[in-house]
Amino acid sequence: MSDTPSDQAPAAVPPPPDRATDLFHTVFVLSRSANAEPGQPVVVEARAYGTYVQQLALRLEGESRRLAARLQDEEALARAARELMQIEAQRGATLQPYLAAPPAPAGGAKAAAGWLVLMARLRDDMARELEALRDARLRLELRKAELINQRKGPQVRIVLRGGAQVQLFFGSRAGNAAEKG
Amino acid sequence: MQPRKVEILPSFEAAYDALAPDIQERTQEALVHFAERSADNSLRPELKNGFDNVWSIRITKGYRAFYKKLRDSEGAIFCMFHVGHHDDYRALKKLAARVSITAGPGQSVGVSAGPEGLRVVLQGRGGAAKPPRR
Repeated sequence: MSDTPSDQAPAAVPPPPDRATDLFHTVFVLSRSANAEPGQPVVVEARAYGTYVQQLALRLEGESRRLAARLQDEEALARAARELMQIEAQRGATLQPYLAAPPAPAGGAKAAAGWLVLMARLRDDMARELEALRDARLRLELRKAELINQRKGPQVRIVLRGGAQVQLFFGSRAGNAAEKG
Repeated sequence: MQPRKVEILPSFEAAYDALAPDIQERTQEALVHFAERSADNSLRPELKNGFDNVWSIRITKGYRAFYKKLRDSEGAIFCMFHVGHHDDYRALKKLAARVSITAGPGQSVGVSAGPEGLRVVLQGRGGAAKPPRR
């Protein structure tokens, strides 16, 4: 099985700007308390992150389409998808606390509107970054699914009409698995 | 309304077999409901943006099943071809927007970052309050 760089996952996923995590934390904290509007440096850094995400999404889409068209091996596709999954999990661990955190409190601390706008924009970009990784992985998984279905070829089709047949199908699968096991 | 006609492709079976038992159970339940058209609000069938005729339904917060919508001589047929890990990052963002905390008079909002992520704590008269429950 080939392991040349061209067959590898887009694991050369360009890293985010160095100070991105500091940026998220700064904006998150200040969006809850800062009276003054955000200064130019933080706005510029936030824009840089947004640009990074835009370029990342384009690159990941292109790379995953290329790999999906090129790789004809289920295991290679699965391996590439797993690598992307790892990257997604790592970035998710960094970003999800900011995505999942409640918004700024209403009525209490008075944060300048600019911080709230900045936080909202950052959250959109964070979601977009994770979605780009997720969808690139999905593209590889779907291609792998196509190859499996082609390999299995025309066979008895499993077509289920209604919930009762679905239940019966999974029930008998479990029964067959138990017999074999 | 007629129940849905669902085809289980070999790739779906392969992906299903790789799932943990609890997710397999949730997948079965979801497919029963999908076939019966009995829980589309929670299944949230949606067309995947950027993919050709790829639809998904929600299995759990972190898993979705994928299908193509085709037609045969009898009508629509929903070809299930994959199930796997698929987080909805937009939903995470929207869910956070529904939870709000209010700092009252004399209270402030503290934020700390720790190994489990961010904690938002109300502090004020009478010492630190408990973090808001989600």
